[in-house]
Amino acid sequence: MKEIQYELTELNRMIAFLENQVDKESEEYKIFRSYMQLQKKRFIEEAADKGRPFLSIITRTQGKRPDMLTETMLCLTGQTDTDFEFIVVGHNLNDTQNASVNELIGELPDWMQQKTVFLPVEGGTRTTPLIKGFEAAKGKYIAVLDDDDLVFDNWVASFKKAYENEPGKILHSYTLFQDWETVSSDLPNTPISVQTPSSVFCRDFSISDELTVNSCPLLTLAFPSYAFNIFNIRFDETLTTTEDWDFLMRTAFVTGVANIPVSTCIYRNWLNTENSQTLHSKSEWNTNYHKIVERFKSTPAMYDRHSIETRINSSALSCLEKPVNQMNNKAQMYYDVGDGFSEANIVKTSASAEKEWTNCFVNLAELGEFSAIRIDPDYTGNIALKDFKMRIDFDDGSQQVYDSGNIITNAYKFNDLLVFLKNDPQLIVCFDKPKLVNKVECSLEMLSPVPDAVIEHLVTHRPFIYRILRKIWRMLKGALGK
Amino acid sequence: MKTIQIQSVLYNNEKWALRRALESMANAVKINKQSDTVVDKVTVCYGDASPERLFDDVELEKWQKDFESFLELKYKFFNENTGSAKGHNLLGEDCGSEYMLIMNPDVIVCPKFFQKLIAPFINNTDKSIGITEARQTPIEHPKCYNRETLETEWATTACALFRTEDFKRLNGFDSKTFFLYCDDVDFSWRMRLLGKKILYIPDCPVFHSKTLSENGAWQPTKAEIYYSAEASLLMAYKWSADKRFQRLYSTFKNSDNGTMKKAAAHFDELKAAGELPEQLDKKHTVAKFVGDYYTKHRFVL
Repeated sequence: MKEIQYELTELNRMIAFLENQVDKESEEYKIFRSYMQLQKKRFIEEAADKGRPFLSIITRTQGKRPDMLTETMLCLTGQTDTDFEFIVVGHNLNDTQNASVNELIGELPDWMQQKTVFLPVEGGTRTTPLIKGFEAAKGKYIAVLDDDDLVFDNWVASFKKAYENEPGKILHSYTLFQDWETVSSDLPNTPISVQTPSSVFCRDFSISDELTVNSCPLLTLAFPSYAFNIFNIRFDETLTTTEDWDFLMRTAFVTGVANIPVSTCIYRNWLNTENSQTLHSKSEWNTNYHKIVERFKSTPAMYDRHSIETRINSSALSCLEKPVNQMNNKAQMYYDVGDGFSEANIVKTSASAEKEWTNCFVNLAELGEFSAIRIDPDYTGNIALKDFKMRIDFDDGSQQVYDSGNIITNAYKFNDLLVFLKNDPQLIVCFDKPKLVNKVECSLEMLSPVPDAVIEHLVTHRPFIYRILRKIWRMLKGALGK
Repeated sequence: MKTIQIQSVLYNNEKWALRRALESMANAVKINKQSDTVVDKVTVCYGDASPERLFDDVELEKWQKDFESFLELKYKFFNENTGSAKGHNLLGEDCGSEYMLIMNPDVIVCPKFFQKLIAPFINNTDKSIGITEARQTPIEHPKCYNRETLETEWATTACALFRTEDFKRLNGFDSKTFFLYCDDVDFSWRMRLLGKKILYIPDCPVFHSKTLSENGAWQPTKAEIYYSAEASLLMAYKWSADKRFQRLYSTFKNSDNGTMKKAAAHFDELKAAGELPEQLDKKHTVAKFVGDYYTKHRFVL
């Protein structure tokens, strides 16, 4: 039987470290040792406890979108791992809404009904039903799904697998981000997907990145219940937005985070219906943001091992002064061997040996013929590349150099800059026929964030009509060129 | 009497996934009995195209007993890998139900599945509706549909319902031409040649297990790439898209990619044997090729 890894959470790692550091005769040693023994006992007992489900799934609903709640429930019905309980927290429901939610639960297959608990909650803020749900949860871990969330069949199973490897930590998987609308006025509660799923949230949790930006939607996370029940890390009921970010970070400061590099769900971005962005004012978001980051400053925190490694690796390449003259270690190259770009076909960047070229991707010929390559200089937007050049060395000895003028990109072109305002920046080169490539090298200056003057120019001086006219001009130019 | 025969072709499926799907189906039958549009009888027919039987008689009997309150369960071992089109034709040969529902065997249906999917057929006295298709979740198919009329140009048989009389009128799926892909596009277009509509039912979600890579892309297997290429060539030929056919054939024939070359060679074999399908829709009233797709898509997946 696999030994329970009870010393992997950040707090336990720290105490175990101190236990080894201090004099074995000291009072401190006895305290540290006693704590670690208690942890070992708790972890072993929890793992062996078959009476508790692995996961409690909490879904808060106001009963306003029953069709979407049906779909969320359907996704849970399709889980490959059914070691969960499902707590539907009805918040401030009127009689009709109460009856509607109860009816939906009553329509579930018998085995799902047996796993489902309805918990009506009155009063408080939007955070209150989460707290009540967490208090009612029996699971070793607790996850939250909104009543319009979609999960793949591996959602629970992926959390469980990560728990078995790194028990005690927050579990974090990837989610795809997709734009959705409601179908029509006749079907106001029925969704339609309208955009290709984006991988903007498909990246590991990093404590330093997450200190200033909330980039882990709640449906990507499962929290260890002991952090809530024993350490009393609670949601802040006074927060009306981003309460999940605040809770995630305060828990992560103690437990650390185990990353699951697999997409397990879809985060829906609603374009034509109410969402948290439209329900709350900008000033409300700002007030909550500042309250949360001020709390981060005053909360004791342990910087987890993964984040330290990432931070050091990133700094080693990107140096501290801006602009930097190369892409950081998040840059990666996708190559297309005939069936599109995919995560299976990625090469990470390394520093180039040649002075003129700063980033390079090497040993490519052994990967087969490429019909296209794509370089993602970072995961996130708000960056600009200055004086970008790319040189490709082909296996037949020829070379080709590309720059901002002849590369395909989702950047705005502004003077000598490629400006990426949105996440997932991409630079693409397509070959007329599949080719063996030896090496790809890039040279550039990366500006991060994009200078205010550039943003102002793009936003203020390039209105929608200008972009449309420019698009028409390009099409005409292309047609004339032919 | 509204009766439905549900058909799924099996190929080495996980039994727990089949059972989960049947449980959802039985539950939907139970919920349907409380509705205004009651389905009188639901029969589930499994056609097993696996190399070995998935069910022996004892296990089959147990499953039949487990679900007998809501479903009649039938099982046929084909003893050959029929592919989807031939498998469904074999299952549909002696279908006595009013409706046929084609679905992937691991699809999990929503509780109000039957009411939602059959509703458009009720009171459709002129029988202008040919097929209704459920919405797959969590990854929705990106093909376009009219948001007001819900009309679409073809239906995926991951989960689609039609009248058995229409299936028989069309002689079922074109199993001589299509093994794994595009049999549903071809079937839908032939249904439309009869003047019938295809309706997408977005408020009838069904869970169809699929995952995307971390960059949101499909991860097709080599077999899927091959059968997709083979079908695309045959679709272009059968539906009289001559320019498209010539372009595809030439690209495949001259490709360095072995999979594409093999698809072109398969076409050559059919031609030499005189087994190419009859060409349809020469006036292009139904068939629509948009890039690599068979209708306009909302987005690339």
